[in-house]
Amino acid sequence: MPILTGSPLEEAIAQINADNPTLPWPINSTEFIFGKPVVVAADSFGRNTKLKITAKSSSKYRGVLEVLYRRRDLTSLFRGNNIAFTRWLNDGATMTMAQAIGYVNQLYGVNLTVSGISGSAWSYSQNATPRVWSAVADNLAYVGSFTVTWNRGLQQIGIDILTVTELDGGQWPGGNDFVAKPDRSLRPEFVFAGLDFTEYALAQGWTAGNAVALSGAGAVIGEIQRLTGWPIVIGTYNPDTAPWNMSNGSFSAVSLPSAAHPEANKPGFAYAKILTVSDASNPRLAGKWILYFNL
Amino acid sequence: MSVFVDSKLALFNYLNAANSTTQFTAANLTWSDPKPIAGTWMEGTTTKNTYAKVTPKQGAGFEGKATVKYNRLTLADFAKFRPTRPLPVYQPATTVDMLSNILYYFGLVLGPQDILSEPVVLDAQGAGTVTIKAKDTSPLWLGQLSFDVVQGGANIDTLTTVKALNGLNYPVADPATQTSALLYTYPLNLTGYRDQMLAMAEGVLSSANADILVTALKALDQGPGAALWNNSDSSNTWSLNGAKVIFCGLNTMVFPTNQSYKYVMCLELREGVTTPTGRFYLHFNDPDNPNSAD
Repeated sequence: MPILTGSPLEEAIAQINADNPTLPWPINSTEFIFGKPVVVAADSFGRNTKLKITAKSSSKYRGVLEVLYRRRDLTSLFRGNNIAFTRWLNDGATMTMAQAIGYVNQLYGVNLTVSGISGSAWSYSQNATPRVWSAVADNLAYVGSFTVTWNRGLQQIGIDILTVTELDGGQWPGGNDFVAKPDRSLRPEFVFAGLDFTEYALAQGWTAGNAVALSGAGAVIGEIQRLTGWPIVIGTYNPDTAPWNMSNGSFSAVSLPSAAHPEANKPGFAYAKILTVSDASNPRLAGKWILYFNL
Repeated sequence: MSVFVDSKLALFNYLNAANSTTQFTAANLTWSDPKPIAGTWMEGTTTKNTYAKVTPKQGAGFEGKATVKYNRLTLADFAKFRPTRPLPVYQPATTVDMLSNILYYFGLVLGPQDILSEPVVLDAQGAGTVTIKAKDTSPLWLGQLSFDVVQGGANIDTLTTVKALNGLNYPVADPATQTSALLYTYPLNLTGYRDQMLAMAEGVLSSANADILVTALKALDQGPGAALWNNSDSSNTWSLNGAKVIFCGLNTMVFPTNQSYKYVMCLELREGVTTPTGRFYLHFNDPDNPNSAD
């Protein structure tokens, strides 16, 4: 764990309880009112602060306790150190005190708090400018001040650039949830993979660019039925009475390799016609139908 | 005002007020223990319930004596003002121990001269029902009062015995003069020296190993010690000569160390080396291999 931990209030409470183990109930942050710390001349131990703690009626105590203790002087704490941290900051950006204090705490193992420190942070152009940070007057753990410097470092890809590191990763056609969709035997991406429509395309006079309707001339349905063995029909899908019915649709023409349809790129084929079948059309046959051909 | 001041003082106040004077006090007048009027010959002559005798003290400048008659109050009547709220008390041994809590929470001034000191027996939670009884000799009170008590009302001021606290602590014993080695070296990342450091045995550093660490610290340190680290047996500042390895190995939660490092080496500088001060930890990880996902 870091060298120093806990908020100023937690540190003050912990010190009282550590020094008074015989208290029947330890002092806590909720049942007492903590006054403002009052500066007093330090004794030989360095006790420089008077603090009044008043028991709330919700506590099992009554009355007021006044303790004398030592708040750490930031100058002494950081004696001999050159407090500096290095972080990237985007052009036009401003580092908040909360960020800067978090970095200093992380780097030096200390426990400064945003509410306990007054000072200014940095805008992107103020690289290497020293700043004086001071403990605020009612900080229960610290007094004094120290100098801290921010240096603008390089962008760290893990922190400053790659803020999304949970990637989608591998995706099966139809999604990776095989519980919801157990049967993928008809996925067109794989059914059409082994089929060559070249002979049919030549017979129909397909050119590289023309789009073709599924129901259009040339009986493309018949050729698909012949090559896939699917008895498809244009009509309304019904899982019980019309499992091979599907809506009409239009094939787009694609030259391979295609940047828009990388999944269609396949050695040995120069063209493809692609039809995207939706779940609404026929959920069993949904997916990308890719008809490969050469001319 | 009588229930809000000490009962003895209250009587002198009555006496002075009734006689338009201010001269009588406990210093010049002896006030006898009171007695009930009931059963005496005075019963038919007054509506008061109590009488007492006042006698001048030696040298007070008066002589003679007087009998005064007045009413004492019945404790039980207090219940009419404050019917149900229990009294918070903290481990009272006797009824007299509760008097400060009665004053604090009930606002009623009762003194040891008023109340019989009787043991208080409470349950394991410190709660129960308590009866306080007026002494026969109480100047102002008669009868008794029962009320519930609960645990609480502990006097924070008296129970806190150490009020000049022994903190807050610095990482060094003398913050006025010492530079904390612990804090000074906390930011340093010695991953580049992992293999050499893990090979260093616990105990006093060999001179060769001290040289390795001096080189490492000089390269990494950004602070005022950067150029000063040395391996000289005659230097009393920034010297690793004769430093002792207390521990070198896997980091754990019990050390004041940065938990983002896998390994730490705990070092203690040679006796007599004053700057920096104290044990400190050098942090390092396994070197990163860009081709390995780990």
